[in-house]
Amino acid sequence: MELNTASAVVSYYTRLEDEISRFYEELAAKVESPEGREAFAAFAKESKKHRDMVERVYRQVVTDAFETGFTFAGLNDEDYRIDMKLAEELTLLEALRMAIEAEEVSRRLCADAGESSRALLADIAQAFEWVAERKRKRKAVLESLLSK
Amino acid sequence: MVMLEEPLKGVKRLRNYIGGEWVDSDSGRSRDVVNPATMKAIAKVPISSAEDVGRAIEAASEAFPAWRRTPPLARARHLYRLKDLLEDGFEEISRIGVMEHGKTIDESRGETRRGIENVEVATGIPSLMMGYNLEDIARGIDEYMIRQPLGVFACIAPFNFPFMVPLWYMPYAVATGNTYVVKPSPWTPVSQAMLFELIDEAGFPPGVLNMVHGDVEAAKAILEHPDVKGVSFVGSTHVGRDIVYREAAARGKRVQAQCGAKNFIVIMPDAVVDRTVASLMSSFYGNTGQRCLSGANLVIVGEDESFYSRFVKGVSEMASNIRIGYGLDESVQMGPLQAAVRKERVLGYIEKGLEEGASLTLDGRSFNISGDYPEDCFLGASIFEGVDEGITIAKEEIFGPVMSVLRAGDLDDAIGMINRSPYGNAASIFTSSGPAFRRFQYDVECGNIGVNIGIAAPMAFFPFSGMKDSFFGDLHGQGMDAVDFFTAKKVSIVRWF
Repeated sequence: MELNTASAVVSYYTRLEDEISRFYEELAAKVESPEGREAFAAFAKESKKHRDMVERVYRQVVTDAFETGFTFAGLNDEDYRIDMKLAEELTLLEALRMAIEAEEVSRRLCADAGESSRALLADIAQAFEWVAERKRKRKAVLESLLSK
Repeated sequence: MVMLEEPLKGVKRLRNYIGGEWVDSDSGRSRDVVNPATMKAIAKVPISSAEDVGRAIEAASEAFPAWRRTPPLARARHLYRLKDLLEDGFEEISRIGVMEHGKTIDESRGETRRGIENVEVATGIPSLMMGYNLEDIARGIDEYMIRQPLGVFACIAPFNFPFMVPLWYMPYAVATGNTYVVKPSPWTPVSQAMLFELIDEAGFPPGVLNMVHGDVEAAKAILEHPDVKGVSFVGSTHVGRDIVYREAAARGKRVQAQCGAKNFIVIMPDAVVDRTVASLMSSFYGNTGQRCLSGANLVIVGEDESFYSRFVKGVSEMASNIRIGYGLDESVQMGPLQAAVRKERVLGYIEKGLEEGASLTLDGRSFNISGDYPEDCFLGASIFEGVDEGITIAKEEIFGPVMSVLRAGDLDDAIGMINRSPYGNAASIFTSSGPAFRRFQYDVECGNIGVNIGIAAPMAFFPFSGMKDSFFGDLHGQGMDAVDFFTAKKVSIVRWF
């Protein structure tokens, strides 16, 4: 489905971020390594923060003057789908790979949404770009855990 | 497709809010409020009598002396509480807006936000309402100017921004110490009813804010009542100028009548095309063209045929792909018109445009609706090309999703066209040229100017301006103009022996 309006983009992003947050919460409860548990719990909390920030920015800047229905182009939810179901017997390695994939997909969504909206809805673009940058850093942290 | 949940289930029975209580109208008359996307009734609104209005004004008059004496900061605190409640109810109000009006959820949230913005600005009343003074205007004599409230004010609200428009006025009126009566549009009264539920919860003293549902009879009663000190109105030029302005002014009331429009959007050859086209979609087709700041006439400047063709092709392609449907579907970009009668009116203008020789290059009469909804109020985006400045569709307010494309040899011609229109609400220019912008801002006789902005809607801390047949009165809604409108300036000259 095409993500063609501000409402559609923000609401798809918030649903995705909610899933990611839940995924990290479950993961934190599952893993035995204290380092992994701490990192996943922190990521879960941060995902909620990102979600709230994007939603707040949207709701605070949206006015009748903006081109909210026509700002976003070329975004489709099929390009940003993530499988976040945790298998019963999941190794830390597999979990980290899933997390890296989730961070990359959601980073791409935020970067594309930011790029698409920069000209007409700059506040929303800035929020998405900020989250995309955070996700790039989170992905790097996960990759470093993977290499240990 | 993500369909948001409807907050209204069944048919809500609306009541008047007078003296801090929910009361029935004594008229015995009512009408259905219909969701224009589904054509289902969502509410029943009373059509109040002049006596109902009289009771509301009486309650407001009784509340005035005590409210006036309430310190400005304490008055502002009521607005802070209201602002918090509005934030909590933000989504519900916005979805109700979609259901009663037909606009998209993005548009409705935008309307809710603009309404809240005005409450926020009015909370600054302890500073905004300050007067000024000067010592020693003559030796040993000082002079002061203080602002005082006047009494009861009222708002006669339109159907197109039913939640927001009363908030252009009401927060400033009560923040400055006046009391207030709102008459919502009988077509779209539900979001205003919800606002008053929150007002009730915020704990304003009884009578400070009142709401009376109704139609012409209620509006007439407001205009004729001797205790109403001033009236704010948004609606058509005919009603605003020939009825509201004249009737109110004849009785010595203050009046601000924000009226019709025919807004021109000027495209210079150096416009940034892709961004401009996206912006035009919102300008001409946002709110399904039912706003007084909508683009109506698109004026393309210059003789460059290839630029003209490329530009109009881009506009036409995007307009023909606008997704039409129920505004609670998040992917929908344009909802229905607010009522079938409004669609009939727009169809009449399309016929008129064809009769008068314009070329209908995009025909909004054929359209696809996303989802299974009755067609009664839906209409697609239309574009007329070859429009002469003198024909009806270029001159009259259509209030629907219709773009008329005109051509101008140069910027002077374009400005001439704008200034020959009797209206003066808004005009925009899309350009990369500073001198063109300056010339436009300087010479165009319109109250709201956009530069690379399709909808020149002023923020709450600026006046919602308008000139010529688009505004009757002196002081506009919002910001300091509102503070001036709702206060009398009193001067004291002081000498002590």
